[in-house]
Amino acid sequence: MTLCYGLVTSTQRITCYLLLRWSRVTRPGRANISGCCSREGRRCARVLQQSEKRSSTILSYAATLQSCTWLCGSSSFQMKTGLSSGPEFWRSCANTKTCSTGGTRFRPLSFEVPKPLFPVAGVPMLQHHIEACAKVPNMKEILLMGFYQPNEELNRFLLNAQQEFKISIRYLQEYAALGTGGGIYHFRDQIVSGSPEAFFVMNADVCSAFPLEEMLSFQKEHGEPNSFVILGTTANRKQSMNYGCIVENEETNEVLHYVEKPSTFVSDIINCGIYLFSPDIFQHIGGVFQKNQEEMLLEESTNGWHRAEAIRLEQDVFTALAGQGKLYVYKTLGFWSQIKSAGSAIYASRLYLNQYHKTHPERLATNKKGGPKISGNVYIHPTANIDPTATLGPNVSIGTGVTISAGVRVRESIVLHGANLQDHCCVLNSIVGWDSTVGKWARVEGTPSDPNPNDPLAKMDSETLFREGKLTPSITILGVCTVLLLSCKVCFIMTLLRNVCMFLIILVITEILCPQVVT
Amino acid sequence: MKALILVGGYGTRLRPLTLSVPKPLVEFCNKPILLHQVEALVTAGVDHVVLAVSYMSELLEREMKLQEQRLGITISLSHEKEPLGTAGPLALAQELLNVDNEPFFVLNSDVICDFPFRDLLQFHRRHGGEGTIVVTRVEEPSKYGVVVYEAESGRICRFVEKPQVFVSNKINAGIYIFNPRVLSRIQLRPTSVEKEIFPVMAEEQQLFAMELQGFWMDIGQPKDFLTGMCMYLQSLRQHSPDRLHTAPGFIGNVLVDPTAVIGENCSIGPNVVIGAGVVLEDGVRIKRCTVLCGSRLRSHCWLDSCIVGWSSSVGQWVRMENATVLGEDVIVNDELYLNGANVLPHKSINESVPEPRIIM
Repeated sequence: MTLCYGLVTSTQRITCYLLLRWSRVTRPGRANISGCCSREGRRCARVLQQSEKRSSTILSYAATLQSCTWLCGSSSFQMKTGLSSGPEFWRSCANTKTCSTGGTRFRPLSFEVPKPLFPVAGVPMLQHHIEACAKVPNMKEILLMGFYQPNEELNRFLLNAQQEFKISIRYLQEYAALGTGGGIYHFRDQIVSGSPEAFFVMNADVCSAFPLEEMLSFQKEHGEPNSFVILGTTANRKQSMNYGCIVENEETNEVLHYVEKPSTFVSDIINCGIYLFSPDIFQHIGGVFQKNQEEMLLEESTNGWHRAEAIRLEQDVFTALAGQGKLYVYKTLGFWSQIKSAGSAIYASRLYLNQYHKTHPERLATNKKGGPKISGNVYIHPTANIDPTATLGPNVSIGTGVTISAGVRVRESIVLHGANLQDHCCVLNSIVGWDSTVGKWARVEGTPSDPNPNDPLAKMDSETLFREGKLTPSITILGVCTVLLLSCKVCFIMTLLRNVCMFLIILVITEILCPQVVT
Repeated sequence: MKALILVGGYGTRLRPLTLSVPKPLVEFCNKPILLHQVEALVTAGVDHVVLAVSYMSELLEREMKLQEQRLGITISLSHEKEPLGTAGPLALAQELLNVDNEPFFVLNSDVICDFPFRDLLQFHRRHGGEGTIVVTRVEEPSKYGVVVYEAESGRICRFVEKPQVFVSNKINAGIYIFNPRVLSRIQLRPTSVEKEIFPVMAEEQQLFAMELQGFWMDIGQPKDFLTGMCMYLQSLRQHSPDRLHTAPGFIGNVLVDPTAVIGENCSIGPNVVIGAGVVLEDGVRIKRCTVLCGSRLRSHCWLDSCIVGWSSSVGQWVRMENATVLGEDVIVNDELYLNGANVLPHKSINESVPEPRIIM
């Protein structure tokens, strides 16, 4: 909400206001309209009074805002999954996933699909989470929470996943971005129904080996049975400051201190964004909620956009829980990375493809007679049409219906569905968007943005698209429906693209040498 | 008749090619630069060519011995111990040039054109002056020293260095014919023929200009080498089109040595020269390039405006462009991108070169 407020056109403010009103209609007593007391806000309110909208219209306005926010990517989008499981000892345990994503960093890819559905190693990012959850014995249900307007793509994904993993999966849409803690608190009734003993909460934009069963046994062995567990991993000193830092008691693994993105070094154990809670956690989140409400009553000057429901699990809850014997950290040695920028999807893809050797060997392509030359880990969707003279890999994912012609080379790249790579073209360190065409002899090349391979603790830098007004050299991304093509005199296309990030639709690109965004 | 070719020094501007081979022997359109000139001179009736060199090269001497026999002429090397400019070598070679009181040709070794030696001799004899300069027309005369002359007689009035206002669009093409009397004007010391000798001759009304028909290029640097190549191929298209290669997959003017091997699904041209023993594997795309003897271009590579040095190898899916020059025996590994790289001989490249630079 606050970020929406930052967009300064008056129409934006009107829609924001409508959203508030709508939320008051649906949840009486929760929204604080009087807080909307800036001059523009009052003017907006008057405008609205003049043109009395019926609630149905208002709802559609709210919907507009959501999709608009999603497109602008300015809101901290939240998506949560809840799962329930219940082995013999704990009757049931629900599992919730928080998928907090910016979206802007994922441009131009996030224009087309919600980021959590972006394919990593051939399957939607979220499917890796769901697969891991489905493996946990007696997992009851998976809840996805988010601020996204549910769309066809999401529904289709949920339906398919339910059938494939034989588990109930539901999407719970937040009415506003509620923060990592606010979301699960808002839907607490849904989560605790069926009285689960424990539940997982995961961010959607992480890539991990998901040692969920290990976390469960760790919880049994350490502390009291209702303790909470954070999945932690070790980072290097410099990068640890970009994450939530955990100080532990080395003998008991109890969390002694928690701080989110400190400006000085605190600890090299970082928060992986994967938690195991018991329903007791709602008492603690509820405490924060109460406190927020009291503060809002006291503070007259509150600008009206702050809401008591917006609760950040990390800053508001963990910080307070640290050192109270309730919060523990389970340190994993398995792989872990955030998937913030589009470039990090390539790295995440490498990690998952590597894991497929153990978990899904059938997903890895092999050298066959009459098939393309494969080097390293490659995922090829069965519907893709690959010429036998092409060479693919390592770390390549080819999506549905992709056409790869003679003599094509693809390395360290993701090719999304419907893309067409024509003869002799060369695609390196790139993401080729849906239905893009890469012309003959074209070269599409990005700069690898992997963590330092010589430092086993190094993580992906949470890079931004731009730094000091310049596009940071990164993975090349061809956005939606990008067409690189034709009409050269001799009808050969010899395009060169380096570090390009393309934002949208039906472009004919000729030659781009330096990092830039093409719109 | 005699001719003096000002070969000069190490040809540093055409490095890295001239690190392996003396500049006169670098193949331009599948023939050493010097032979383009020598053969044209022989056709015009020259039987003694003097090469003014400032460094001795065994390779050059050996090659010239062979050419002496092949063409049935005398080729002498006049070696200057210190650089003598453009006029000094004439004084040094005086004894060789001043034997029979016949006019002699003088030319810069970097120049490529349809050499007009017969016309030049005729023109020179007709006007009776001491010397004739071949001039060529340029688009931007303000970059050069221009020649101002009378349109009808061709008598040169004056020279203007980098004119700020338009006075003429003709520049010195580096090809001259002189009577032996000119030699008496030159002393054995570093002298510039253009700056010190010509102005005096023009003042005495002894210097004439003849305009060159057709193309002209100074091919002393890689960029100009490629431009000159395009012009030469176009000239071939007009005068002897049967020397150019035509086949499916070939576009525009392409010159291919008969010993070269071309793979399937290649697209070659326009403006490509492929040397002896070169191998192009399947699916190669190449335009506006010279590939020198014995090189191999591997599958799916893409080259535009490049010179590939002798016995080099360009890997699969490599992209090279923007006046990239590979020296002798360079290996470019697979999937790299070279933009304006100058690669010294015997180098193996493992990393892309996104910005123009020299690879030591």
